[in-house]
Amino acid sequence: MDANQTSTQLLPPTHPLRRTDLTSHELDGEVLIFDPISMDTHRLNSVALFIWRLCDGTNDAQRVARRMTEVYDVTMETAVEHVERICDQLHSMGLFVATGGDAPRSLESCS
Amino acid sequence: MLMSARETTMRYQIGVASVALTSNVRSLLDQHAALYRQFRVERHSVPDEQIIRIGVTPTPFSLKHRRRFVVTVNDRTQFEPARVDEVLPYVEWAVNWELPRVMPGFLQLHASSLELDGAGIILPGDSGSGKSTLTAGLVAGGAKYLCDEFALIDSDTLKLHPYPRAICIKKPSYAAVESVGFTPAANRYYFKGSKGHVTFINPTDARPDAIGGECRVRYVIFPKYVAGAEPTLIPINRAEAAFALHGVCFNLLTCEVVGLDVLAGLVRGAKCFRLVSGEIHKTCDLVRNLVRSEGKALAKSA
Repeated sequence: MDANQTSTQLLPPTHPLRRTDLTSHELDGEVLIFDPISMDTHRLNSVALFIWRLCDGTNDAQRVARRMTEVYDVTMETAVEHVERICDQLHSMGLFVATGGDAPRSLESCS
Repeated sequence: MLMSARETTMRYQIGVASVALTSNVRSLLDQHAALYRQFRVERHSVPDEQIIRIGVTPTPFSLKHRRRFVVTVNDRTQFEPARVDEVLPYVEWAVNWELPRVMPGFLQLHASSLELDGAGIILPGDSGSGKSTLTAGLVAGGAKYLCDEFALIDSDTLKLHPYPRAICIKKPSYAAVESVGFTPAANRYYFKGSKGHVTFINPTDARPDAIGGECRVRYVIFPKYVAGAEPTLIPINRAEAAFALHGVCFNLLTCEVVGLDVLAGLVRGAKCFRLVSGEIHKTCDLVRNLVRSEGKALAKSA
């Protein structure tokens, strides 16, 4: 599979993986991402950046949420909610690599 | 309107822009020369393809068709204004259109740009945000002028470069620029499409050394004029600033390098603010004090 193939699944991958062809710049705790395929630029706030960094293909939503509770003063339930929502958004922006082998399913259903 | 049969070409080196204006409309050439007299050159020192060649030719008199002025850019017809008082604004516009083509290594932002005490300042904003008026005020108060329409950023060095075109002031701001000491060029007024009536001022009317040179951007300030407001500077983070700059970049996708890299590099070396601007003198004082107080603090720490 092409590492830079954009995600075309309807639902986010279970272990989201950032595309490697994106240009990103961290500035004052936030990040700007330029997508050379869509030509769009995105701005992620500090929470989204925290989640984005963990989207390396090895973490699922539960693990990202757990890490979030270690850093932010949030319950696991709230953290999962945040992670799912933000991963949904990142997925819909086409910023994840398509996980061709995975059956598409929502982050909510994986743990 | 004065015309002669013979076309004349006037050559200018306006900062980084090499411009050749050819016309037989004498009044246009004279008005343009009054605004750009300090930039006249006998010949350009750049290759021909880097010269922005503007032509203005009136259509012949005809009983059937109203007379128009054909404005060409490098021999392509770009505009056909009907009124003589529209021609100069379209000539200016034509140069603006062509800049990214002749300078692909520059990122072109919709922003005024200045230099104050060696610090580059860019004032990005949409039309109507008050950037030209604020620029005129700051130049009158001692800042050096780079441009009222663009911030031209060299994508290699991240330095800000001058394109010191005449400052274009819209009618609602005439009183403000007169209050800081500028008189519109020979009290001439023009018509510029949706912007309505405008005038142009030559920044060197403030003082002969009013034009600045290349410099590093130290301040990115997004002005928004609010009538009657107390001028206020609101710090913003660099991601917000870079994202907003991306929205006012004319050639983000056609620049030779990835535009976002340039914007990120630019804001890393700058302090970023939103500015609520109000009365011109107070607003200029606020910006000057920001730059000068930080300059003094830096000098002290050094």
